[in-house]
Amino acid sequence: MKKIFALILTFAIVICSIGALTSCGGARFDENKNISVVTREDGSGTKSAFMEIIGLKGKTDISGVIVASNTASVLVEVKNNPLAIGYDSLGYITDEVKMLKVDGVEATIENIKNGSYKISRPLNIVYQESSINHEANKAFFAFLQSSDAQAIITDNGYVSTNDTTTSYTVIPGLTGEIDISGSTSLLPLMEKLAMKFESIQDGVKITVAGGGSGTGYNNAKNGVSDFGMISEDFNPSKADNCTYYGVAKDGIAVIVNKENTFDSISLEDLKNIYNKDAGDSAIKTWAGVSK
Amino acid sequence: MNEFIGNMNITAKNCNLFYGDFQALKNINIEIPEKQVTAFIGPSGCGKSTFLKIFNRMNDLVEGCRIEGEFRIGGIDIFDKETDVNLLRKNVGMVFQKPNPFPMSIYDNIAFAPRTFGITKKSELDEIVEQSLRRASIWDEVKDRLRKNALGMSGGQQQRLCIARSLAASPKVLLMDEPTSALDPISTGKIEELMEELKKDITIVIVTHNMQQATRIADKTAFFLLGELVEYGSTDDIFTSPKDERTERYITGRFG
Amino acid sequence: MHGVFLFSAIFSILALATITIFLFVSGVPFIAKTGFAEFLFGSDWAPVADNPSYGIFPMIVATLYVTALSVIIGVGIGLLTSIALYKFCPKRLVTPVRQMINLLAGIPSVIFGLFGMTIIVPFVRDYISPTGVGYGILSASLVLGIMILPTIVSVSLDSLNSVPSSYYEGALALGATKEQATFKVMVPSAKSGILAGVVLAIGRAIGETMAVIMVIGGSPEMPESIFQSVRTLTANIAMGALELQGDALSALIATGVVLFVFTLILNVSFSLLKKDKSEKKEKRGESK
Repeated sequence: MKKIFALILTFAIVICSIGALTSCGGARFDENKNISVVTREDGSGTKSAFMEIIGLKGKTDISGVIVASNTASVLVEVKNNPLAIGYDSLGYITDEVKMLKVDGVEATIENIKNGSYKISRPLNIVYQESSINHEANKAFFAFLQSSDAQAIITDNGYVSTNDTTTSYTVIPGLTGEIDISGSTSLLPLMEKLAMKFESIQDGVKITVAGGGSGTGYNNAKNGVSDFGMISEDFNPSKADNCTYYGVAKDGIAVIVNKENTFDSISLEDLKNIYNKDAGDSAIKTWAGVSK
Repeated sequence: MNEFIGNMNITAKNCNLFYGDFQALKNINIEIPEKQVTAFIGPSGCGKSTFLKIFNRMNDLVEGCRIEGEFRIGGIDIFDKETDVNLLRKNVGMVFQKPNPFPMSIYDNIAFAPRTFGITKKSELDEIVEQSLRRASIWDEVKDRLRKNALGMSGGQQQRLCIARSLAASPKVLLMDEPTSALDPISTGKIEELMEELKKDITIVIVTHNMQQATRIADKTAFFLLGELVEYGSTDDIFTSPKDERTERYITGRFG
Repeated sequence: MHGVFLFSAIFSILALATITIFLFVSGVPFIAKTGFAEFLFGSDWAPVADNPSYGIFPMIVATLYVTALSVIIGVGIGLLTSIALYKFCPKRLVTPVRQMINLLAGIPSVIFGLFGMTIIVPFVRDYISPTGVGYGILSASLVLGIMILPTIVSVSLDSLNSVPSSYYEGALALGATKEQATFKVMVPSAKSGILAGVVLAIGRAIGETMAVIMVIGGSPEMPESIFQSVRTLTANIAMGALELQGDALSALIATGVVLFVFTLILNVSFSLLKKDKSEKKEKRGESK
């Protein structure tokens, strides 16, 4: 009995180690297996942006989706799973995964800037020309265009829209209050920018509030806020007395495992992978993705 | 496979038993006749219980226990490789000092051994249970509560239940290790009567501290002292005309 | 000084009361608003959709599946382990093996999650799962099964050890093999203790969050296969708690209420089992 026990124990240990070793090796990419669709949890900014851009705003997830609760988990899953597809802000992507071209366009800062990469969206502010006359507003506007602001934008994974190397010049004794409201997509970045500005110009107080892009248009148009935030291309018909400035662009890369043989995916296919209600055009396996 | 059939006498030749370095039994030779009651007497620690346990190999459980010598029951070498220890124990039943019914129903207690040996038919089991309980003369007391937990019985009943449980395995030999030492005189009396009845078919070996008990029930008696078999003979001879001085001192109560 | 002792004693009760009140005050109105049946038996969870719906039934079912499977795995392996330690393994191995198993209990659950994510999930995905999905009920149950092993092993072994050895000898003396004696006499005799251990383990499995969240997948849908990404109640709370606001957050707290009721039921049944056990002991005339 004792010998059998020892034998079983040894056997189990061997099996376990083999299992541990082989699972590190992993399986190969197989087109005919189901795509492991990776998404983020509800409430994530990246998720709502991604879903909105591929045209699935407010839709629920497809069945069998793997929900990663943070940016790192998305990367880990895609890195380890040959069948996975995921998305993440461009700024977070490492070279352990492969970025797919979308509609043939590579996800580079360049392509996001010139607008040819589709899964990106502008993060703009809208304002009445007259509000720039105000001292504090003018200073903040200048700050947004400075290299100081660009550093914050790129550090947070966004794409900066201009390439000045001029840094912001502090105006001594500047005081005032600035009110900003609108898109929640721009909100976190704007809060960081505002905080930085307040620390440089300590006489200025900035209030940043959410409310959505619609609120951004309305508040700017009606003069409720000095600047309105919108996360879409400026539409003059929504605020005819305003103009806009592109603060940054939000680029979301589509990533797959390095084993994956695809280099490119169409926006349409991407939508059919993530769309719960795609019906017959739903894509379940990599074989269904057009080459 | 060695079968236990025929004359169920027990023999031990040149028996030595060691617990580690300590020698608990010293060169014991004995022949125990079948279908009689043989009593082992002697002071505590003399090795009589240890010796008894050799015959159903319960000492196998004790770590560091080493046994030398030749032991045969019904002519079969019980330590032979061909001898199945479980079959040996089925044929050589044992009743312990403290009643140890399992914490399950009376019925399941009795049915344990037959089930272990593959009897599953309910009618057969019912038959065995009733027979065993009758042979242990406890049937009338428990027939209405066979499904009740055995732990709810009195100590005397529990011990007779344990005897019935052993009988259900249809043993040829029954080893009893001070079976009545924890019981009151009435229960003791019942068990002694029972042994009278059982020895018609079964070889019984009983270890006892109670010399009156030995004189009442035993056909033969063996006196152990400090791991040695001092004297062995018919109970009458041992108690009326012991040959050895040590035996005489013990039975007259001068030591032990 | 007296006051300090008293306060310390009351502190934990206060904490319990506060948590309970918080859960019910913030959770129950939401359940009432959504509708009791709608919330408990609704099959759609979409808190940030255009038309939000808050049905947690798929997660209740997933929780039960994961718990049941992990208990089957944990009890299967754990009980056999404790039996091995009880009679079937070399004596000098018992203490080291037991200590190693206890060490398993001290490993933080996030490590189990990491282990599950990097070893079990890929293994299930590549070698077991027919759909190529590693996340899901099976992976979570395997991880949880390992996590509850120490509880099962130590409680079962203690209960087995507290069964009088005279039962074991009695069974052997009747010709039973070691295995028969153990499985037919010793294990049934230790039954109530082992059951109490199982209930404890269920409690741990139901409440475990971190390790589960890392291997469960997280899709809030009805489980149809053990290789499917699903979401348990704990995972639901943990995944959304930092991101969601308003009604969606209330929905998470309401999920917490349901979980709380589950664990309450388990705790009550555990104490009932324990009570039952001690009563039996009294009958046997033992005190332990």
